[in-house]
Amino acid sequence: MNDNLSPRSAQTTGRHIVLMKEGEEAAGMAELRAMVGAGEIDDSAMSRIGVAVVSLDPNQLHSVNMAVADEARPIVAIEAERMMYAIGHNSIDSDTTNYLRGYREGVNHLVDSLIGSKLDSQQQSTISAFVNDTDNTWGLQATQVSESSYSGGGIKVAVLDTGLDLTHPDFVGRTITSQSFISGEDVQDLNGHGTHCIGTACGFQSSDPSSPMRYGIAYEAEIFVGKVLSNQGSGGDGGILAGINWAIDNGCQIISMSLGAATLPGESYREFYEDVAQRALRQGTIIIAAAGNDSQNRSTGKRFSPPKPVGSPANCPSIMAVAALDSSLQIASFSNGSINPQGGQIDIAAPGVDIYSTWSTDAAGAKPSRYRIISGTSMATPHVAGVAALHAEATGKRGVELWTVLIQQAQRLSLPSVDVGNGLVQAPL
Amino acid sequence: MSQMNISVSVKDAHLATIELVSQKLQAGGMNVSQVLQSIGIISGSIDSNLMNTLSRIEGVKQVERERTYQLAPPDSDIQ
Repeated sequence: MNDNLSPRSAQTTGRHIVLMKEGEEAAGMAELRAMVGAGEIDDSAMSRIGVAVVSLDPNQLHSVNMAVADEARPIVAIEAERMMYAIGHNSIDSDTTNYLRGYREGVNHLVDSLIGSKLDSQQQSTISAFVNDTDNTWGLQATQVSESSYSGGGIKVAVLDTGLDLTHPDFVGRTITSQSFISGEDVQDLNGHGTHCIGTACGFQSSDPSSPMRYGIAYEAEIFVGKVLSNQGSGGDGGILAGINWAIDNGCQIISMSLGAATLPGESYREFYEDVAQRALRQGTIIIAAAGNDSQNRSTGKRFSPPKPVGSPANCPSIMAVAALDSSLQIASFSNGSINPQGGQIDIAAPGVDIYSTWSTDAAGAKPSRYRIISGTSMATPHVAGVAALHAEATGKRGVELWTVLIQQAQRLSLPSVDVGNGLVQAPL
Repeated sequence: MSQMNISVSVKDAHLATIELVSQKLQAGGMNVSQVLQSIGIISGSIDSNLMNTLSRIEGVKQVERERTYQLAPPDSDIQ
């Protein structure tokens, strides 16, 4: 006889639960009554679930077990009735609690080792790091771009930066409109920063045979290159505003600006940039800007606590401010945070650490090369701009409505909203 | 007399007549370099002593000194 079925087992009531074969409940009850006597049987659950509860002496228990063993008979299972407790800790003593915890851990460990962790993919993604693989950069994986069926076709994306390496092989065949707002410099990017940002937002796949992965998002979007920062990486309001005006006049639905200036705690946004951003949104153009990289303590490499405030002009309420995440979906040490009220908050986060993209073969200040891996909210911003182009293509939405889609679709993270806003930007599938 | 670069934002009600606002700004001493119709901004330069007088011109919402932006050096790992 199985000890687990003993009526004196500590975890059981002393009674047993007997299960009848489906459709043969009446025959099963008749057999059970013949073995036990009707007075010992609680059949209140019989009509609904085919179960009777009975008190059995050892001989009766043996008889029922024999009936269960015979597959032809209508009694199919018997089990000791367990003690049930109200959920909560007070009704279970500490020894039992510890035992149950150990039991649970043991079972979880066993199940995990046999069939794998039962964590869903979103929970897993917040635990395990993404890595660049042979097909896609980690950033395209984390943003679902690698799974998206959209390409940005029919959408115009303006990147206001240091220009573009117009001779780069990865942009051959693309529709590119460009203009320099820097006097004395043409659009050709001698810095590299602009080429990196455009690569992420609008590029496609590396032509480097040693790492042929995809790094770019809106690979069929029309590219508008507005050079508003010089080859030395500097520019003023005049050129930036002229670039925004040019992008709107050209019907760009998205403007990506990986630029900004640090702000002080308590400092408000610059009102005229807010006016500009609102007017842009009304005309169907969304402006996306970098939150800034001022928050890393250079001596420790750690993030200041609290971090530095979102820079200008990303601190305008109507400009989408982008924070940077690393490949473990943790906040980047340099990424600024929501310190100032009135628009000075992070709106969304995107991959911004160790980002592979195009670089300028004409770069003067850094070694010229076709590709480069760098970090910054400057790299996170074109991830959002590229994904915005995919949503604009998928939904037909523009301006404030497109803003809403980006915020709604963002993957919520187990991180403070002051650091990551509504979470990690996600492409439409 | 030092010239400074400025951006002037124009009130919503005057966006349709932004060229008129631009003419008044020039009459007030501003060297207008660009009229940015779609975003309602007029940019240019002015003698620093005259800057405060521009905000009294009809249709002007705000007058802002130009700020410059500087990226990290191109060889930096964080940009």
